[in-house]
Amino acid sequence: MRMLIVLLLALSADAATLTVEVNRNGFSGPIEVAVAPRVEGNPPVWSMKETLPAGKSSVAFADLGSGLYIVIARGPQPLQRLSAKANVGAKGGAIRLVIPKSKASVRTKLAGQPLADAEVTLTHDELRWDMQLETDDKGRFEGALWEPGVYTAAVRKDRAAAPHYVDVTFAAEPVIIDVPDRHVSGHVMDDAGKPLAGALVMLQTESNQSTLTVRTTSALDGAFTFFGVREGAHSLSARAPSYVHSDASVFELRGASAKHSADLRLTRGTQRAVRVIDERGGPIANATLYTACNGYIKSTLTTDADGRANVAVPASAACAIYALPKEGSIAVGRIEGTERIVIRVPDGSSSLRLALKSEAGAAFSDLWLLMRVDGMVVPPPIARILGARGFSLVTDDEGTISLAHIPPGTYEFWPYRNEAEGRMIYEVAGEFAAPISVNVTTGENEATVKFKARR
Amino acid sequence: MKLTRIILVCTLLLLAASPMFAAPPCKTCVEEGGSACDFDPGSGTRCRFVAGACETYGGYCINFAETTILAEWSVASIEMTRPDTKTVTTPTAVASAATTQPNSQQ
Repeated sequence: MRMLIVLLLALSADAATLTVEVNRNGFSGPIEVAVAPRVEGNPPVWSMKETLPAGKSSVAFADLGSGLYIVIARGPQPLQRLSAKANVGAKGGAIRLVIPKSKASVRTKLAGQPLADAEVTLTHDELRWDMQLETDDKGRFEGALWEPGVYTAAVRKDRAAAPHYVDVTFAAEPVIIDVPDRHVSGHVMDDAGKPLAGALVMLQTESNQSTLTVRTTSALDGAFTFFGVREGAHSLSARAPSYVHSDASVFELRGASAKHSADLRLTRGTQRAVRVIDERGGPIANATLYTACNGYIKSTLTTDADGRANVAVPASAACAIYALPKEGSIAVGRIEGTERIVIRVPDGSSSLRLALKSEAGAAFSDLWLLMRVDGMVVPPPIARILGARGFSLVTDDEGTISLAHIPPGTYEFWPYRNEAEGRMIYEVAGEFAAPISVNVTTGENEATVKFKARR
Repeated sequence: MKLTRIILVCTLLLLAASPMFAAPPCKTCVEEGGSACDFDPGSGTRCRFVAGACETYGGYCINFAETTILAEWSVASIEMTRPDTKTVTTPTAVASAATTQPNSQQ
């Protein structure tokens, strides 16, 4: 009973209330208010919603944990969206949204001519929420706008085509989106020349200012289209499970009007049967397998309930298969001979906290670490995937990395600052000793590496 | 004159304080494992992700450096600690917290 009371007190101490007050400024319609935890750079996932009927202008969201939130107020019209950041402390928080009386005018064009019935998705530049509008048969949209500012517009005429992306600013002037008449299309086919549906097709466009990667999916007939692509150097590629990633088709598109057509062929390469098991020989289901050849990822697959998968491997390349179970740990299978490859994943019974400092004690933060485990170098693309799984190989503000659920073994590290440096070290890592080498045994391991300046 | 000096000092202080608080971390688009912006110190690029597209662009961001870290620094020592053991090694040896020799080189 005493424990229950303590638990209830602890819960009530953590939960706070956020009060949102909306100044309707004459707007009398219903307003939906939603709240999402704020994750920098990511679209919000609305966790709580309430609707304010006409006449009501305040709502309270209870049981929120302390932290940063995004609050949005939505009216019935497409651009009736108003957002704010909210900081909820232990004592809760309160924000006030004031609906302005501003209007927006949008024109969609294709090479200077009206683009009728275009669908435009606008993503808020800072908070990443989005809203959609459709232009009429003359390529026009007029309506109330609650939040002027900068948005990324994704404009499409046809739902099957990847949209045109452009930045727009909503202010006093009408927003004119003139989609360039440059398009890329083609088909994805398999080894036999049959259309391949559902393949991921990526178009990477390099211009002076940026590199934009747009993704779409091939249709049932294998077709894909990128609508209104930017001027610049393009790299087009495709990938699908059980197939080797396609080679990139590289081309340039310049000028006011340009079209490019390219068919992409995905091959199954050499199919290698792989089984992923734990230390006791039990199957590991849903482990993600990455085939890396010369440091580049060439295919991806997930094991079935029995820990099995048929992995596509390029016919002539030195490759290894990295198995990443959902539960943690990592194992590598070398591709040798023709036998079935069995990847035995050791238990992640160890952890390593590695700190990088100068002799004076200053933390070496924001450094990448190229890692070699028991003689096998983890390529930089695999390291990035590990980072996305909470296994970051980038030092934090204290100059540390923390690797949990890793197998015991010899871990070697090379620190580097950028991709080019990492790639260079990866190329020669097999021939040189790593500057940092530690033996990780079962249980907790902590290592502090001190650096001295070269003279 | 005094006011001018104060303004000058304040301006210099503002200029000296590089506005790192205003700079976002360096990030790049990562295509493997689902397109997303990923923290990438040293890239010198910023990144933004919208549904179906990811853009990497040049811009002021934290910790962009062109020099290689190993050209400037070398490892002086590695101190390995486990719950019951502490070992300090030189960089030529593999750092290992041997349980049979507790506190041997402490």
